[in-house]
Formats: sequence, structure tokens, C-alpha cells
Amino acid sequence: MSICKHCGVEIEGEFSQCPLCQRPSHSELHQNSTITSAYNPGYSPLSTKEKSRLFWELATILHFSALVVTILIDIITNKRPTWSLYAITSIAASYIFITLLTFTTRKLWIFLPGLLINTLSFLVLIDLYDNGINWFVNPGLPLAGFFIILLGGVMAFAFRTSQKGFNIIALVSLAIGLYCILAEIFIKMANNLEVTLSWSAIVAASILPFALLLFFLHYRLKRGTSLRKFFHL
Amino acid sequence: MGIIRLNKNIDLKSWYRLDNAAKIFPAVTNKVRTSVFRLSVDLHEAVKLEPLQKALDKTLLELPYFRSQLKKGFFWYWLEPSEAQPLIQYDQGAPCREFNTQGRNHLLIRILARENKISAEFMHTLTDGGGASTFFTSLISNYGQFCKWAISPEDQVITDRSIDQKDLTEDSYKKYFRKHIPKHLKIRNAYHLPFEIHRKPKFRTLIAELSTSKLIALAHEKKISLTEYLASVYLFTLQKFYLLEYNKRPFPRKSILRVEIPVNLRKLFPSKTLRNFALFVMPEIDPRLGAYSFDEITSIVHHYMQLETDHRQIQRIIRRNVGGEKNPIIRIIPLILKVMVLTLMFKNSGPKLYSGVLTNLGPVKISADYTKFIKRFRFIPPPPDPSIKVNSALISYHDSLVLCFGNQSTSTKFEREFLRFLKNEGLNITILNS
Repeated sequence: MSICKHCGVEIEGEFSQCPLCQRPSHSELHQNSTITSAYNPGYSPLSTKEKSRLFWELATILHFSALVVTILIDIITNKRPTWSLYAITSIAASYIFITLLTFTTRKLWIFLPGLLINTLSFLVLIDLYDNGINWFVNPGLPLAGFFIILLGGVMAFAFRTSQKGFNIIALVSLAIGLYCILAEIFIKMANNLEVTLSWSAIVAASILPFALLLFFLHYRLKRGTSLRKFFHL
Repeated sequence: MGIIRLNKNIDLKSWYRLDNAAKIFPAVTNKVRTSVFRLSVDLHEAVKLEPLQKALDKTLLELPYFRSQLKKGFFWYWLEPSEAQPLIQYDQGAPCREFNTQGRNHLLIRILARENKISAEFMHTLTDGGGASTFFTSLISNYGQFCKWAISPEDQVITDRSIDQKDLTEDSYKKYFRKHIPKHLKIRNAYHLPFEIHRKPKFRTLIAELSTSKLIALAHEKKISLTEYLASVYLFTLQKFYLLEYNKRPFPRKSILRVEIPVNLRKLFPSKTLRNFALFVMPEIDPRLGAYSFDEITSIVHHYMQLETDHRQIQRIIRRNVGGEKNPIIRIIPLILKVMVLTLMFKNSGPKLYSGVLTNLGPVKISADYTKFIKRFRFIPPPPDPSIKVNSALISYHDSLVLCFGNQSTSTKFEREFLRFLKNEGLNITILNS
């Protein structure tokens, strides 16, 4: 018999950690403190939040280093910023994206607008560097906008649903199908072509039965819900 | 070690429609208003983990209804058996936290342990204080048997195997519903304590221990019951805050001071059900008519309780509550809309109607052999609606009466005033570690 020194319950038998509170050491009633302390590693594992923060700090150092190196090489070789503008914009966009991903993925109302602003700013700057605004307005803006909307929808669903499985794959497939249709429409509009669906319709038509099958598998077969219970009045 | 194991021998065919009281909880439950209450027992020795786990497994075999999970249908929620075999959890953090009811095998009970305390938390959708008390005393009885505490045959009384499971899971509201009687009358909104709510929700408890015999003696001096006595103290304390607030200002519309007191209907109507079977009576005073003395309040509360706990009056309330769910139009509304309607109804007529809550679970019935192992029982009420701020619950075991206040506000003035009154009446009060 021993008593866990953390949660105070009495435990029968030998355990390397308390089966109740999961702490690694429990003070044996007949053990001395030297043996007990051998179980204690002396540090506590990092929480998910702490791990994310550590990842972000590492990303900050890497991005900052890349930024400095890129600017220096461009200025040393060309005496002014030339190609490095593209690289600097890409590094900045990547850094903002990682920051959003680290701190705001569970806060969709911050993450999605942030991602939209970051993506649009990146696209508009890249377009600007190349003889003013051209392709940004169409198809850049609508394609980026719809991408964020579809991503937001999928993320919101994934966060809200408690049973993640085939349903997420099905939803992502549907989102891809829809995005293909939108991409074809806006690319054709940008090139002044007649807007008729061709390749995207084939992709969407192929995806749809696949997605429906996955939804059926997930919600009907996997859960085994009786219709009598589900529709009881 | 996870929170559950799976038991593949569970009969998954049976299922239960939610009872009338349970229907509201899934709709209005959130992280603040969790609809979860807790029963605990303080032992004289450290909790033994293995016997407790065995006791839990045995109790769930005896009372399989508590292995239910909540499912969402198109028109209504329902309860169905789960394969989950819950494990004892470490008791840490705030009590009465929300249950995750989404997905499979998420039970509506959790059993926790720490040092010399065993606790069980229940979601109100599953059961009320009466049903939970049966489960908990059964668990402790089984624990006592596995710990080889002195056993006498009367320990079996809690989980009497002769009782049919159908009787234990019957919807007694429906059984005692009478269609052709008038509905209960509507009442006006009540006064609410003016305390501030935590910006970030925080449920605090204050637990006090008193002498049961001394409190009963005080109540008997006034020729009233213990519940009536404490309800009177509740109203008297509310009146103090009300008069402080409105002494120099005109009286507001919400002036009624009203305490909600759950009544265990198993005492009025024959029922063995473990599901919800309780209703509320709400004694009140209107201080716009002038301040009341404590003696006047005790008299009002006593007579009100006598009138309102008459089974005919109770059936009027059952008629009103159950009548709504029997309405064919309400029944065919999809659940997603029903939830919205129920939430709106709750906001407009739930906590607005009373100023506080006092729940008395009564004396715990458990073998006399266990006395030397059990120090006391505790009962923590579900976190009150933020508008109410404070609620209270009590439970007694021999001469230990534990009174617990649940509080969502930043102030503890109400509890202090309430206990100061009892102290002035000559009672010794010990504040227990939460």
C-alpha cells in the first residue's frame, strides 16, 4: 500500500506513476525520500502553448536572418534593392502567416481576416513590382478571397464537429471541387474568354460522388444511429 | 490512463426520451451555466483507488441508467446506453465543469477522487439530486464493501435488485401528468442581487458546516422545517441587500424577492425513478409593502410551502410543463429551432423569476456501520445563472449539515451576511476547504 503524495489517494501494487493523477512519483509509505526523488525528472514537459511559442521564436530568428542576408546580398551586388523585393515580400508574408498560425488558429475571427489581408497584400505587392497592378484585380483578388472563404468554412466545421474523420475529407474534397469551378471562371474572365465550364466541371463531377460516399460512411454507417431514435417525436 | 474504457457487453438497444425537466438543459447549457452538480464524501482516511474503481464498476452494473450518453436527434435529444466504462478521475480544477456531450461514449457523470474525498458530478439532463443521491450512496456503499468496512445487510437497500430497471428509468412527469386541470398561474419577474460578474467566468464555492441538531432545534422553535428556516434566512438576507440598494431610490419593477426551492416529487408521488422528478416552489415577499421581520418571513414561507407542496398544486405545474412538450406543433419543430426557442424561453422566464436558489438534498441514508469511516457529505449546486449570482445547496449526515454557496459574482457579501445571521442565532459555523 502506498499513498500518492500529489493526489493523496491510496494505491495498491507497484506503479511507476500514480494511476489517478498520472504524476510520476508517489511517496511510498515505507519508502525514503531518496528513492522517491529518483522518479522525479525535475522538470515539467512543455505545454502545447509553450511549444507553439518556442516554434514561433525559432521562426522569427530564421525569417529575420533570411531577410538580412537577402537584403545585404542584393545591395552588395546591385547597389540597390532589385530582386530582393520579391524575396523580402515573400519572407514577410511567410512570417505573418506563421504568426497567425501560431497564435490565432483557434480564433477564426482573427485568423481568417488576417490571412486574407496578408495574402492580398502579398499579391498586390508582387503585382506592383512588376509594372503596376495587372493580374491582381482579376483573377488574383477573387481567387484569393474565395480560397480564404472556403478555408474558413472547412476550418469552422472541423473545429465545431466532435467526430473528425471521413467527414473532413469529404468537405475538403467538395471545397476543392468548388474552387476548381471558381478558378476556371475567373481565369477565363481574366483572359477575356467565353465563360463555359470544361475541365473544372469534370473535376467537380468526379469529386461529388466520392464526397457523398464519405459523408454516408461517416454519418450513417460509422455512427450506427437508429432512424427511429433520430426522428422520434 | 484515459477517462473511459469500453465495455462491449452493454445492451445498446434501449434508449430513453428526455424527461420534461431534462429537455431544457442541453439547450441552455454552456461553459458558465453548466447544469452540473456535485456530491462528495469526506472520509476519515485516504481514498483507496482500486476499491473505488471496483465500486464504480459494480454500481454501474446495478444502475446502468447512469451509463447513458446524450444524443442529438432531428426533433429531440435522447439518451442511450454507452459502452463507456468510466475511470476514476483526479479531482483538480473547478468543480461542476461542463460535460462534453458531443460524439460517442461521453457519459453524463464523472467520478473524482483526491486525498480523502470522493466526488461524483452529474449533468442535470441525466438525473436530479434525488437520483444522484441514490447513485452516490450506492457507490459509497459498494466502496465500503470492497474496503471491508463493517457490513450489514441493510447496505443493500440502496441498490435493491428487486426494483425493476423500468421503474428506475420511468418518466414520472408523464406518469403523473393530468391533462384536464388548469395551468399554474404566471408570476412576475424577481429582484436580482446587484453584484458584479467576473469578466472571465469563474465559479466559486463557499462551504460551511453546521450542526444539524442545533439548526433543527432553531427551526422547531419557530415551528417550521429546516428548509423553511433556511429559505427564510435566504429571503431575509436578500431583503437586506434590496433595502440597501433601494432605500433612497424609487422601487423598481423587479421588486419581488423570491427563492426557488426544488421539491423532490418522489416524496409526494410514488416513484422509484432515477431520472429528474423534481419541481420548484418559490416563496416570496414584496418589500414594497414594507420591510419584513424575520419572524414574519418564517410565517410566510411556512404557509406558502404548505400550500404549494400540495400534490394538486404540484400537478398544476406538471400540467403546465409537460403540456408544452405534448403540443403537436412544438413536437414537429426541428431541434435546431427548438433549441433557439428554448433558449429564448429560458432567458425570458427562467432565472428572471427568482432571486436565489436553496436546494436541500436532505439527510443521507447510508449504513450506520459506515459512520466511523465517513466524516461528512457535501453537495455543490450547479453554477447559478449569472443573473442570479448566488445559489445554495445543503445536505446532512448525522450531525453534520453542509451548506454550500455557489457564486458567479465578484462579491461574497451575500454568503457572509447569511452566515452572520446564523452565527448570531448561536450556531457554530466551520468554513470548509473547497
